[in-house]
Amino acid sequence: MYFGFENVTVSYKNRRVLDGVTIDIPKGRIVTVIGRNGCGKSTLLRTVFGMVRPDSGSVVLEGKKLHSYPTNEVARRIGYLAQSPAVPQGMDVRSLAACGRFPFRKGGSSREDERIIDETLQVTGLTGLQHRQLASLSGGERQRAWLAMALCRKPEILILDEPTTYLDISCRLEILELVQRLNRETGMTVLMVLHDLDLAARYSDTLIALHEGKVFAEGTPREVLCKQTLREVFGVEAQLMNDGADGYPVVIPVRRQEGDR
Amino acid sequence: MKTRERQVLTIVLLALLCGIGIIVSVSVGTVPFTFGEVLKALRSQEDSTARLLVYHLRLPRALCGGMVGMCLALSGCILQCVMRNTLASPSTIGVTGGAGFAGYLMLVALPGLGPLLPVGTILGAFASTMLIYLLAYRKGVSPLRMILSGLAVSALFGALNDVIKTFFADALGNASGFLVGGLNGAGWTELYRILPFAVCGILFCLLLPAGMNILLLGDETAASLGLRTQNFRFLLIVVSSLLSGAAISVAGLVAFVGLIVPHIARLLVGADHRVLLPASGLLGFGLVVLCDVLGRVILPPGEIPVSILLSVIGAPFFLLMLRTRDSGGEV
Repeated sequence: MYFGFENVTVSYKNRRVLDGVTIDIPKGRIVTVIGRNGCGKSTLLRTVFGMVRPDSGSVVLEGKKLHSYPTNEVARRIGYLAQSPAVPQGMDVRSLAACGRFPFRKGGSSREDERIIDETLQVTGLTGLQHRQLASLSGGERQRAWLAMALCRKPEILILDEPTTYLDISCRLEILELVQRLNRETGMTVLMVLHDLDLAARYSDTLIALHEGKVFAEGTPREVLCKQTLREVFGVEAQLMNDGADGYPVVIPVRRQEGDR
Repeated sequence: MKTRERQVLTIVLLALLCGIGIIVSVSVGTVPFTFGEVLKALRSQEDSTARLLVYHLRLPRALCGGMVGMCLALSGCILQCVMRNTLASPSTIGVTGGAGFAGYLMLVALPGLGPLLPVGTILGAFASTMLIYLLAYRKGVSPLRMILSGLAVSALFGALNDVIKTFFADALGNASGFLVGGLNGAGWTELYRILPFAVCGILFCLLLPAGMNILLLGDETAASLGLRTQNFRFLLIVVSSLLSGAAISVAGLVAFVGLIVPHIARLLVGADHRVLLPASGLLGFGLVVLCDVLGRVILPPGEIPVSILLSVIGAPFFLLMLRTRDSGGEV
C-alpha cells in the first residue's frame, strides 16, 4: 500500500467514530471521502498527523506505519489544509505561505525557500496579492493562500478537509481545478473530504462513502454515486443523471427519506 | 521587500529609544547632570556625588527597569501566543499574583534565601500559568474562560498575599521593591540577581519565533507542519514563567507592560514573531525606563512608583482595546 488507512478504529468516550476503516490510496490518484456530517471523515484525516490516536489500526505510508517515520519527514511529504482554519491577524499572504517551509527550516529562510515560495505563489495565482493581509482577502483568495501554505513543502501527498466550504461556485471550481492540475502535472496524490457530491464526482478518481464509521462503498464516481448509496448513506431519495458534463454523474436530490433522523 | 525594511527600521528606532531612555534616566532627577558630567561620573572612580547618583543609583535602576520591562513584554507576547488570545498577559491572567505569592511565601518561610527570590517567583509564575492554562484549555483557549479563571486565580492569590502581609509584616519588613511594586531601591545587587534568569529567558526567545508563528495557524495546521504542539506550548509556558518570574522578583506587581507592549509592537511591525518578539522586548525596555524617569520627576521631591504610572497608561488602553476588538477571541 502506498498510502492509506489499515483497519483504523477510533473511539471518543465509548462512542465508536471509526470502525475498522481500510482505505487504499494509490499513488497519483485523487481520492475523495464523502458522507454525512459526523460520519467520521474529519476524524479519519486527523489520524494522519497524530491529532487523533486510533485505538487500533494505523495510517500507512509506503508499507510502513506512518508513526514510525520522523515527524519532520511526515510533515515534509504530506501537506494538509485544515477545515476553515483561523485567520491569524496581521499576517500577509507571503508569510502564511512561508509557514509551509517550517518542516525544512534550519534556522532562517534560505534562497531555496524563497524560490519555492515564489513558485508556489505563482502556481496559486497569488503573486500579485502576496503582501496583502489575509484578513483583507476574499474567501476564495484566502483559501488559495492556505493552499499555498500547504503546497510550499512540495508535498507528494496533499490532504484537504472540505476545501470548498463557504466558497462560491466559481471559487470552488478554482480550488479543485488547481488541485487537479497539480495532480496531473506533478503526480501529487490527493485525499480530500468534500460535501458537494457533484464536484466530488467530477474531480475524483475514486470516491469513498463513509457511513457510521465504516466504508460503505468504494469505487469510481459512477459506481459509488447510485440511488442506494444516497438512500443508505445520506438518507436522501435522489435522481441521478449519468450524462452530466463529460459523463460525470450528477445528483438531483428529491426529498429526505421518511423517518430519517 | 518594503515591509522588511520598515520592520528593521522600527527595530533600530526602538533600540535607540532604549539607549535614550538610559541616558535620560541617569541624567535627570533631583540633581540633574549634563551628558558630559554623566560620562565623567561613569569613568572616574572617585566618590563624588555624581558618581554616587549616576553609577550607584540611577544606572542600575534604569537597567533593572529596562530588564523588567523587556522580560514582562516578552512574557506577555509568549502568553498571547500560547493562549492564542491577545488579552493574555502576566497581569491579566493571574501569573503576577501567583509569582507574588510564591515570593511572599519564600520571604516569610525562608528569609535567608533572599538571593534566590527569583527562583521562587519563577516557580510561582510557572505553577499559576499551568493552572490557568489547564483551567481554560479545551481545544483552544476560550477567551472568556481564560479571563474568568485568571480573575479567580488573581483574586485567590491576592487574598493569600494580603494574609501574609497582615500576619507576617515583621518578616517582610526589609524586603525591597518586590513589595512596593516599583523600582525604588533597585541596584546592582538586584540586577545581578535576576540577570542570569532574564538572559536565559531572552536567549530562549531567539529559538521560538518560527514555532510561535506556526502555532498561530491553529493546532491542526501546526501539527501537520511537524510541530509537537503540546510540547512546544509547555516550552513556551516555561520560558514565559522564567521571564515574568524574574521581572516580578525585582519590581513586584507591575501591571500592563505585558499586555500593552505586545499590542503596540504588533501595530508597529505586524504579527510575525521573528520581528514582533524583538520589537516587544525593546519597547518594553524603553517604556519602563522612561515611565520610571517620569515617575521620579513628575512630583518632586516625591516619587510615583513605575507600576502606578504604567497602570494609569495601561488601564485606559486595555479598556479601549476591549471596546475595539473586532470579534470573538481568536488572536
